[in-house]
Amino acid sequence: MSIVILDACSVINMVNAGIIKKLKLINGYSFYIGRLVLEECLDIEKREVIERCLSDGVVNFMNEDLSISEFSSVSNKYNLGKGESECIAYLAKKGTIVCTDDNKARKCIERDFGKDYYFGSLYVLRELVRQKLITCDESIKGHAIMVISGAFLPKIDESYLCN
Amino acid sequence: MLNLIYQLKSASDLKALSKKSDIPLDRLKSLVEEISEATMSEVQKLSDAMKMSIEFLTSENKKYEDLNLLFRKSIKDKKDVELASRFSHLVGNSFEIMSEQSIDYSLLRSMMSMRENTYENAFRLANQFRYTIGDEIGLSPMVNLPQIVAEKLNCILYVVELGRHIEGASAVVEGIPFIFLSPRFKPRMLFTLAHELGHILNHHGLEQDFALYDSDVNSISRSTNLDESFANAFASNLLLPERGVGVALKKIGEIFKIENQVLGDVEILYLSRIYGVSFEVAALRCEDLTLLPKGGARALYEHIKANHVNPEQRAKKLNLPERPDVTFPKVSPNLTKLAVEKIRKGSISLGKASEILSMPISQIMRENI
Repeated sequence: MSIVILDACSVINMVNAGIIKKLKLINGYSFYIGRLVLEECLDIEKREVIERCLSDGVVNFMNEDLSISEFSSVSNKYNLGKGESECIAYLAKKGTIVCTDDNKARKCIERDFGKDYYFGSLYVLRELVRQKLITCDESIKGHAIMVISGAFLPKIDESYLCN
Repeated sequence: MLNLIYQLKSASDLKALSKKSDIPLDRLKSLVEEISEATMSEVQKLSDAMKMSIEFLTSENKKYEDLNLLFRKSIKDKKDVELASRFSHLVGNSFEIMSEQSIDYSLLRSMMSMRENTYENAFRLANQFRYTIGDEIGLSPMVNLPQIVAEKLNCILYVVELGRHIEGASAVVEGIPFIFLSPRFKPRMLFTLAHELGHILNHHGLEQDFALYDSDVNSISRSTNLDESFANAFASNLLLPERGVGVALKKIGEIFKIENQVLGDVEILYLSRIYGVSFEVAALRCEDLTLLPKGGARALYEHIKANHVNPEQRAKKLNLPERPDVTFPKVSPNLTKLAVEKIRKGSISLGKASEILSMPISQIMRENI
């Protein structure tokens, strides 16, 4: 079972697309959210959804505390936001996979840890299709909702979501 | 040194901080002495207690230290040291969005010159300003000043709580002009904005770094400081152009069928509502234009306070029309636009942009639609 830590933009995108609750059903992954990422999700509606997901066990709260040096060494090195830094600090400490849609955070992880240590909400959409948890059409629709809600996503061909 | 340690070492009352943050005093002392290091849950508690962001407390920003010196120079009250830290962090962070960007300040520069601090020069500068932005007649209310400042002059405008007694601040750092406004009653904010603009246009230029805080900008009392008097006169002339005031008062007289030659509180209240300024600002302007005798503004203000609590209550009782709405963007649209471009390119992260702009991530995403 791979431990995945979610950053705020991927959480928001998945809430917008209505797929966050499906995370619990994906085989092979266990999803976590850290205290600073939680703090970044300020939008009341989304916050409520996330808190419900936490209490329903859809995602888990990352209880293990980071020290200030574990956090600041990452945040000062990469100059990312607090939530993204928290995710990479857990990656550095525990080898967790980071789920992020942020272009800069992905570049930083790829450079220093490798491609296998991150994916984004588009990968989750594809994995949901692969594991037959949603249909291809639902995946395409989810992607479209993310885009019209302002997600900063890499440009993809829709066929990616259904492979 | 991390800012957390720096801030803890300079904290005046660790005991109070311990109580506020719910972290035992001994534990705080061990952090100050760097015997042990804080956990992120403790940093979160300290961030709440000190009203400083986690990003700030966990960063060691050299630029911040230099800027902090600049901002601390203009501090009059020791209590404002934390405020200087906040400004420094905001300005320092803004550079991450502004870096490698070429910004056009030609319009702003065209109005900048170090004139002598006289009323006549403030009047000329205000007229030049109106002319430059296309209001040659000098009649209309300038309720779109926030948009002009941010979008045409390319100043970085922040609406951010500056503390109870600070209304605004202006700064030029490495050639970039910044204006900070405390979120207050909008007519006060409009005047403060014009006042800060007056400082930037006439007192500093873009070549030399400076930072300046302002309290009492909207007071009924007149400042004795020459720079402050100039900035007030500029703001007053800009927001209440002589010609416009004349036309408005004539119309108001007709509406209320006022035959008395002496200006009263009703006309001034109405004037303040037309031009989106406070009663105090409108009354002082009438005094400047000799429509009121010297001291008349204060006398009318005191009279209203004694009989109607405050000018707004009086205007409400008179059923005067509301002021035109003034929209103050929380963050300069110019800065937000640049941030969105940089997030797309991957040169700044969404979380970092959210921190710099003090905007929730979901709001920045809406700017990407």
